[in-house]
Amino acid sequence: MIDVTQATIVLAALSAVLLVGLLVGSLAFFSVFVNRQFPPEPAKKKEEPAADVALLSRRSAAYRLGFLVLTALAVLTAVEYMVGVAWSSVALLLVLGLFKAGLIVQYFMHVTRVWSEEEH
Amino acid sequence: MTALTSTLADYRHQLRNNRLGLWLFFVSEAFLFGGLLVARFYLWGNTRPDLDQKLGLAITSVLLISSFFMARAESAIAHDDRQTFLESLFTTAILGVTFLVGVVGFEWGGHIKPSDGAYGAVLYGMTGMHALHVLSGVVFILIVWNRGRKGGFSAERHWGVEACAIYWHYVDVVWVFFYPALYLMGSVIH
Repeated sequence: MIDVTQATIVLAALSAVLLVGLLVGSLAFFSVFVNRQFPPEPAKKKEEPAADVALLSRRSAAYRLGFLVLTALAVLTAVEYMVGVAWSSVALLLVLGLFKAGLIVQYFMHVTRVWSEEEH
Repeated sequence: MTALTSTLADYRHQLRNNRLGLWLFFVSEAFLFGGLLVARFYLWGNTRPDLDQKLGLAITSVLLISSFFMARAESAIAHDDRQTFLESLFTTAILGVTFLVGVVGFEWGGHIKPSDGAYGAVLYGMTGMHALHVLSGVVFILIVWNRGRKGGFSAERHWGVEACAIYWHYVDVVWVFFYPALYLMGSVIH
């Protein structure tokens, strides 16, 4: 049975997650909208060698991936908190923990590098 | 085989061995932290002490964000972005210290003391052992940051940064399991 305090905390946490989601979604939408409506002028764009452009592109992709993993971890932690406060289900909390650990081991710790020929 | 290709092959071989060694170290560490988790479930069962939930969530968030900055630092040096590398690494150290302040300064200053039977022993044992690893991680980060400041790493050669990053993420993974075990699992004992 969930009491009023727990329900309030769950609702507050859910609202916070939704608010952050809405904020990120709106920012992404407006960023796409602004880029479409007001595309940057190609004449002003600095000319860069092809190798530099490729490096910058790879760098941006790496940073973006890190941010996506952080977002996923934040959402899973919020869910974990709600599950812990409302139901305290050990099995569900373990599964959520395994998901979070899996994300960190795969994307932050690069576990596959141990058996692959991949360099840094 | 030229001297250059031979050196490169040696470096790759060494890098593989280093990674394997580090992961074997993590396996041995897993027994230590696993033992502490087993002690928690054996002694606490389906109960837990009344800890500050907001503080637990806050320090967990701080550690997760620090992992993000550490990953960013590693990506930065791998892509020759020295400025972001140094900034992200320093931010990680600051967040690590913030986590330590949260655990040692606030959680340990709560109503549960180490002498409070099984609850105190397990709580201080788990958080203390983890905090010790965070502290060594912060020292490791500051050493790498200082070396990076002097230009000691490059996009091609930065095993020191990679090892430091993996160690820091490992400490984060441990907390991923410690946080629910300490703060969320079981019913509260008053």
